[in-house]
Amino acid sequence: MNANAERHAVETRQLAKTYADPGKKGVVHALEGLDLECRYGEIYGLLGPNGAGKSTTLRILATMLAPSAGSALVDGVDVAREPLEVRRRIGFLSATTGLYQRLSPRETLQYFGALHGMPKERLEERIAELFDAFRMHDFADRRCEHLSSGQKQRTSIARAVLHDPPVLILDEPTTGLDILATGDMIEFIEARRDSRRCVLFSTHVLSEAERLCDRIGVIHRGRLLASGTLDELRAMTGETWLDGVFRALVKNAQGRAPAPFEEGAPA
Amino acid sequence: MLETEPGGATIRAMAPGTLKTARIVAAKELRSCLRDPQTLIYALLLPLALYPALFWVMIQVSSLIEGRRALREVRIEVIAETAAEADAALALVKALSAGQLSADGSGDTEAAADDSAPGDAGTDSLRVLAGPHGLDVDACVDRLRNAADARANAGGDSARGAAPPADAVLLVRSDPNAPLLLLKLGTRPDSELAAARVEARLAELAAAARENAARAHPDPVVLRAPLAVVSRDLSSGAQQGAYLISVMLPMFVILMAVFGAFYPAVDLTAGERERKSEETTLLAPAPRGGLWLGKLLAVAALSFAATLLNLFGIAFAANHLLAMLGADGIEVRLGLVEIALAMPYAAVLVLLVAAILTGLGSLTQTFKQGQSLLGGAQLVFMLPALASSLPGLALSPGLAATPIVGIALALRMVLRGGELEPVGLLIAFASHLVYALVATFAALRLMGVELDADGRAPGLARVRAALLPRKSLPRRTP
Amino acid sequence: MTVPGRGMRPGSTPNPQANLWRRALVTVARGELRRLLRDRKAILLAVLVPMLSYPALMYGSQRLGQISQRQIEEREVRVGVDLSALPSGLLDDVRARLAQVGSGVRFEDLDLADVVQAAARGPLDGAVRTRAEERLKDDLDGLLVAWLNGAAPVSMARDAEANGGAVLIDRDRAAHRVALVFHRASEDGLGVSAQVLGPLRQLADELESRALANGLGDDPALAFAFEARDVAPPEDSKGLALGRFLPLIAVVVLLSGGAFAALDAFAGEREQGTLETLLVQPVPTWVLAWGKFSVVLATALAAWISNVASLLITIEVGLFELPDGAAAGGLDAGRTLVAGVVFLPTVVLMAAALCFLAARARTFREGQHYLLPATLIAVALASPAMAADVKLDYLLALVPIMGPSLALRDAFAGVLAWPAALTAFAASLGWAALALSRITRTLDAERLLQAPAPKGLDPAGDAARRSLRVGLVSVAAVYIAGGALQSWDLVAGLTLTLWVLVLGLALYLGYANRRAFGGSLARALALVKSSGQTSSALSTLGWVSAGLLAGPALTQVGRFILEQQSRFLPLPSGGAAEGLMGTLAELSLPALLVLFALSPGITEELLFRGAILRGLAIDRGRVLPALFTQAALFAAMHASIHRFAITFALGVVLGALTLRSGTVFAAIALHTSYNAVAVLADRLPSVDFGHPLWWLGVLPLLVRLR
Repeated sequence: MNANAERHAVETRQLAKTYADPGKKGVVHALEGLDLECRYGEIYGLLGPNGAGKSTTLRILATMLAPSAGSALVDGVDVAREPLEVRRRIGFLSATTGLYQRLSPRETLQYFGALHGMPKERLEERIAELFDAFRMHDFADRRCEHLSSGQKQRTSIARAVLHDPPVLILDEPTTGLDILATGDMIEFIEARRDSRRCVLFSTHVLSEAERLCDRIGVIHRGRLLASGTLDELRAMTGETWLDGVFRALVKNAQGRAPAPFEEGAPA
Repeated sequence: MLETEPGGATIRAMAPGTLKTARIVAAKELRSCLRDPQTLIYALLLPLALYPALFWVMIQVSSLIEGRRALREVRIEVIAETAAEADAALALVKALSAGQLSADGSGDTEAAADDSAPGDAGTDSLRVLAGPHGLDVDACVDRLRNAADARANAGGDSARGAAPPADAVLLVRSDPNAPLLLLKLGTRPDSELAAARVEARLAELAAAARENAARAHPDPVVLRAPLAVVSRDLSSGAQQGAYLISVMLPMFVILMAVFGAFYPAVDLTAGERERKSEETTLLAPAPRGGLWLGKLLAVAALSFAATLLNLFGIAFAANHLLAMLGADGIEVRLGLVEIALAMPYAAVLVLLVAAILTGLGSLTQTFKQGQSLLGGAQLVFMLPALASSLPGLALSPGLAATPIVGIALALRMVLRGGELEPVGLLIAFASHLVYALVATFAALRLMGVELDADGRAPGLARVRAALLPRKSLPRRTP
Repeated sequence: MTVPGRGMRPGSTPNPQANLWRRALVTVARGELRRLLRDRKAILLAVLVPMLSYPALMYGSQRLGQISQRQIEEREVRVGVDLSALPSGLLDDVRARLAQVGSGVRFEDLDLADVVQAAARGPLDGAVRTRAEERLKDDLDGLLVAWLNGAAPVSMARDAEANGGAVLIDRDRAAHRVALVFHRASEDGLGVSAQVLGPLRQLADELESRALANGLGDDPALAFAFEARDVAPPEDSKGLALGRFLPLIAVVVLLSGGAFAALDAFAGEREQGTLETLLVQPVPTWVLAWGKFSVVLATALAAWISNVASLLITIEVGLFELPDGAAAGGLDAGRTLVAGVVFLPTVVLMAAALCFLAARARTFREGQHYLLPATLIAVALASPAMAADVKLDYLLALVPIMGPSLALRDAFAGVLAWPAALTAFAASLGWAALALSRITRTLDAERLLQAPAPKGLDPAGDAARRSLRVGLVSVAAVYIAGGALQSWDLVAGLTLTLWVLVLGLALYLGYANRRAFGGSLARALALVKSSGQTSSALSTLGWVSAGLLAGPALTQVGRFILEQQSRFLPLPSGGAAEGLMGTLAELSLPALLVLFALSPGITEELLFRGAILRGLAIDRGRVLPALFTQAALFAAMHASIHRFAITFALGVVLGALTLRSGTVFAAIALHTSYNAVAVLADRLPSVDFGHPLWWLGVLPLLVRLR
């Protein structure tokens, strides 16, 4: 157990990602030298406007994208060298990880269980547990295309934690959800706070960040501007509310505050 | 929740290898596709129902058209080349006008069997007119052409001019040894019809003339034809059927393999991307090669099923059609041996097609784009598929190794029954197996190419880089 | 955060309506076009690739054909010959003719005595066949043998006497026979027979003529010998060769090119959710619909022009020779223009139809699926143009797509008759106008944005849809399965088709629909009134007897319809009908009545007027369409274009009767009686079913219908 204390759940060193940009005929630096650190037992929030690099970071950690430079380690495993092992230890959820429309939740979970290599009886037990935990028995065998958005939400979460991963990565998890579903999601994230697990999620909903996150990282234009608890950030910038904190940090980095509607300003 | 080892092993499990992953993914994709009622209908049910329906439509439309044709009245003009033939021309006009089939029908049997008979016998649908005399061949041609133009311009059938124009001309030549000259315009349906009816009438008249001459002869005459030419065909009905099918079927098999693979290929690549479930698949901790292979195999399986069903659909409908056309004796049967021999070729073809189409599909992001790209790619398969219907092409080693053409010719040889050329067949199979494997490998590499941040598919340069083993450009981690 | 507002000028009056809508139309069209053109990748693939593939495909197929041709020519065919049985004069004639056969055929003298003997007896079989086969395997592709046919049989002389003088050339009793033994089911065999049999048969004809001349003084048939010559102008022939294929190509290109735009503009937008945004703009939906339509039309035209241009250039440049071998060059611009104009309304029609189909689809994929049947139908309608002898008459000119296709072909061949062409043009304009008028209805916001009702909540709607589906399935199933069963055994097959397939479908549909009828199977099958009320036995008996009595009069109506129809669509003669009569002659009258009158009466009525009509007509407002739909399905099931009109009329009468009487019994009786008359007329020729007195039988029915 003590070996844990030395290892971070998520760690990136000078992580960089470059794309060729077809629209502008040049290169886009999505990430430039990102140094991120998340610990076990905490909920870490990545904050920043669209285009800042949140999604890119999370996808690199989920091994969807390959880093152009630098390194990223999840649960001690290097994403570039052992991506398969990384995927075994994370759960990932985002607006673009949809469900298979023509399968039922049960079949979806069985499918992923098989891909994880889980033995059959263990898988069935696990599925039963998840159905209990998320109250999915009513619609467990209905096709996903016929589920309501809240039910789809629960199915997606179940899929993400099927193999009980130590690191859970969520990309804007409450986008597009109604009040009840948002509440469920927030409860779920909170329930995952324990010494053996880490939750990393990105958001631009400031209230969520304030409520859930143990620590917050502010990203802007591919760089991590600051990282720490809410109080630390407040102290750093002298602002109370998060949007003020954010603007101050950006001003620091750019030399001036972002104007309304300028790229990088919060909406 | 569960107790787990912190930061280390989660639910310990043996991760499946590439092949096992492929199997799991293929099973799931198949299940998903088969639950789509539209896929079921269009890829599976339609082949079975389509061919009988098509043949029925063809038969009905042709009987409709035949019916209309029987009602058409056409005109022919008899012209004498010089005044000396005028009487002969008039006699011919009378003979043709009265030329119904004589009661005992003892005319030349070949003419009576002519297909223009049904609407003809008993209906006066050929008007025979006496034309002017003194026109030579060229003048007749001009007259015919002008008449046709005038008719068209004056309003077609309903024109009631001074002399109704003729559709064809029968010229009585001045040279006694020259036969009658029948002039027609191949571009005009009425002219062709008039010519066909006149030819039938002339044949009847010829037979009747012989009859009457024999009867009028003072002495009883017994004449036997000096020579009769017959054919003895050694092919059985089944062999003829096999020949027929060996020419048409390979083409269909190839086209159906392509059509069958088309839709699943787009759906499982671009379609998934559009439905946003592609990333979900990528999260699985199974080797990604296995994931792509599984998709490819699912496409191949569906294509194979569609091909088989089309095969049976055609074979069934072909017998039906032949029976309706009255081509008795020709039997179309797909024997078990032929099917068994054809299977490896179909399998290899399907794999090749599936690999190419799935690989191409992975370059697109939306269903629409996928459709456009693959639609164009389909055309590439059409040309070589024609090879089976060309009689001169033999299964030489060179042709056997030509992509698609080799399969078409091999299938033709297998379906025909009879002698098999092992060398050609083996080369066809082996070479296409190689092609299929190369294509599969290329497709797997293509599918692994990373999209950029906006989800756009890579340009040509990146595709090229993906296919050639170079490490500099980013690819998805395996 | 404030946004600078845009002030509305108070008191500004809106522009006159027409101007506004026209501008809105242009705006919508331009927006659609821009959207479409920006998807460069897709456009490239959808338009450019086919354009480039024409030259490739045509050139490639021609090369392939040339290679094949050359291989055939180079192949040498060997024929073993044994003509020893022929007398020397005849032998010389035959050899002389054989020498004229092409250089690819080599004749070798062999001793084939066994084959000769066996062939003389009839078709080869047994040991001789095996030997012949063996010979044919040893590099020989055919065997030519001759034998004597024996002396003139005695019967010939007798026939001569009976015939009052002469028995003429009788090929069956010809003096000598020459047979070619070969394999039809092989390419070499076919080649041999084509090259050898033709000249030999010609020789036989000439010898006949000579014999006649010797016997009768001259061959009277020579007076009727003729030589046919096609004197069409070469540019016409060339135009025809091109014009035959263009309609088909046009249809395929228009549909695939336009489909792309149509699916994107309607189904694609719906899928993306931007359609909703459009529908809340302050423009009427017809402006939106027409704007989109104009873009679809433009795309279809662009695809059409570019593809045809590519095709024509390929031909002009000589990459591809038309099948008739006409020389390249000199395509008439005038004809092309006329052809284009004549075909234009059809282009509009197809674009409109595409918009219509695309608007019904919820997603791009679904729209794709509607395209396949549409393409098939269009191709079927355009294909008669491929036959050069299908004439463009007034009837065919009215058929959409078919008429203009024939006109297109004729225009290129330079033989276009302008009255028929005008008819085709006007008719296609009419069809296009009809299609256009429905476009505005396609963008009905309510229908578009309505989510599909979850299953089970709308039993009436489900019942209607299910009835239509089962109706279509019945047509296909009876045609395919019924046809197969009946060709195996007529009586058993027909019985099975009616009592198992048709009745089974009726029961299934009734059972599945019963929820819409309060759970009652009887109501679903129209065995009781739709209100659930059962009629008294007496009333039912009344209907049944009235129906039975009215049958003969109805057959007179049917016959009248057929007569009128045969004025422009004569019934084909012979064929399957005669085989039918033959089998039927064996059955007894009661059996015949049960099989052909009672069985169809009961089973078909239960299916069509019972289950299907009840299901379709469940919506009170749609009774008339239901009546005609059911009649159309009924007519389609009988699978004959000639009987379509009469069966449709019958279906309408029976359906109306069912609707008015409330139950299906009257229709069963009438249908049975109608079929029975056909049977009885054949067996009891003395009874005149065409007598006007039978019309009295209609009275009870009319009384009850009041």
